[in-house]
Amino acid sequence: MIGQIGGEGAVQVMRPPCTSVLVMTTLQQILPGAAATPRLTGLRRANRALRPARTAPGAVVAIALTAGMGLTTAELVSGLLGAPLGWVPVNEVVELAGRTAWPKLSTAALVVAGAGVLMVLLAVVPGRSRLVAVETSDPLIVIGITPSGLRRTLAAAAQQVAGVDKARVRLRRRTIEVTVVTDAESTGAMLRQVGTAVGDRLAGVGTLGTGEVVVRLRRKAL
Amino acid sequence: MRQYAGNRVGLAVAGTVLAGLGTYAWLRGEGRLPDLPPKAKVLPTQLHRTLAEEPWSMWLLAFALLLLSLVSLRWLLLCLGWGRRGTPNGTGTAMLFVGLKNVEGLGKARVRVGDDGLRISVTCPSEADMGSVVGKLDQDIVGRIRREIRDDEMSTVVRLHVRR
Repeated sequence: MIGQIGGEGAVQVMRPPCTSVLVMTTLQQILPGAAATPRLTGLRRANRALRPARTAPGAVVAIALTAGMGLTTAELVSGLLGAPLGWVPVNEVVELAGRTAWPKLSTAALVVAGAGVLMVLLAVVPGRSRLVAVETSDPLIVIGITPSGLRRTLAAAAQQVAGVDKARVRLRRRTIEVTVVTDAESTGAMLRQVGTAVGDRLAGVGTLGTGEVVVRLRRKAL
Repeated sequence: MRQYAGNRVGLAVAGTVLAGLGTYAWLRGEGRLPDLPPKAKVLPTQLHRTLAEEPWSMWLLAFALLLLSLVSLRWLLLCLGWGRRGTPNGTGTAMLFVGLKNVEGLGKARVRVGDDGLRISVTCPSEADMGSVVGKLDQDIVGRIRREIRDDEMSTVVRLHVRR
């Protein structure tokens, strides 16, 4: 497993009055090309398996189509058999279509076309995976950890450092932001300890494509 | 293993039809389609009369709608997981618990077997060493479960969660 933090790439920035920031650069970023290809392939493979299946919009459209067409079929058949159910106003719609000219439909047509384009975009755009991909040795195994789960395990790692009262983790697109709250006597060394603890946990889990770890330290006001 | 693509296919087909119909109606309304009068009614009188006089066309329409509604019902059922999510496997779940016996406070652990492979779901406490859990799953447990259930060439997706 390749370490996710490197002392060489660590940058410490002090911000007044009492906030420190530590950016931990990954070893892959320091050494371009080092084991990057297998990780990239693994990330692609994992993203293919873990990308959103569009279940919610699919279910909404499928329900609307099933209900709409099913009820219209029932209404048509019952009307043809001489006992209309009255569930769908088929006759009224046909009469309205017989009275209405095409120019009156321009706005509605644009709305329908817009909805169609939105649905096509939902189908085509891959979307962000709901799980954070984890490195595996077997190409047939895809492991993903939930973002909330990753946040909790990283926060637990940060809280194990002596002097840390509270830790909060935010997963951003290219960075993981860890904010720790400590007492007033905390030093910059603690910042590094937190960065190391979080980086070690991240390296242990082996997440793919999570980027830099940014550690922020907040001291409690006296 | 690939993610289920049925919803994307369905959305693409329905979206293309809607976008096509909407664009056609808008172009008709704006008079941008040559040889077609823009002021014409949406349902011409002649077609209206034909529909009223020829009941077979309505039966045909009803049959087509019935087929389409059955297709969309199948999509809905598949979308909700019918026949797609696989079945829970007790042996696999037991093997998973045995493999992760060193993890204290292990919560939910479940193994499902489907046509597209194995789906494993594990919930650990936040104090658990997730690196070790991932390592065990990757190098040992999943392989054992796969060999026990079917074969070693079975694709597997593992979902890990950490609870409070």
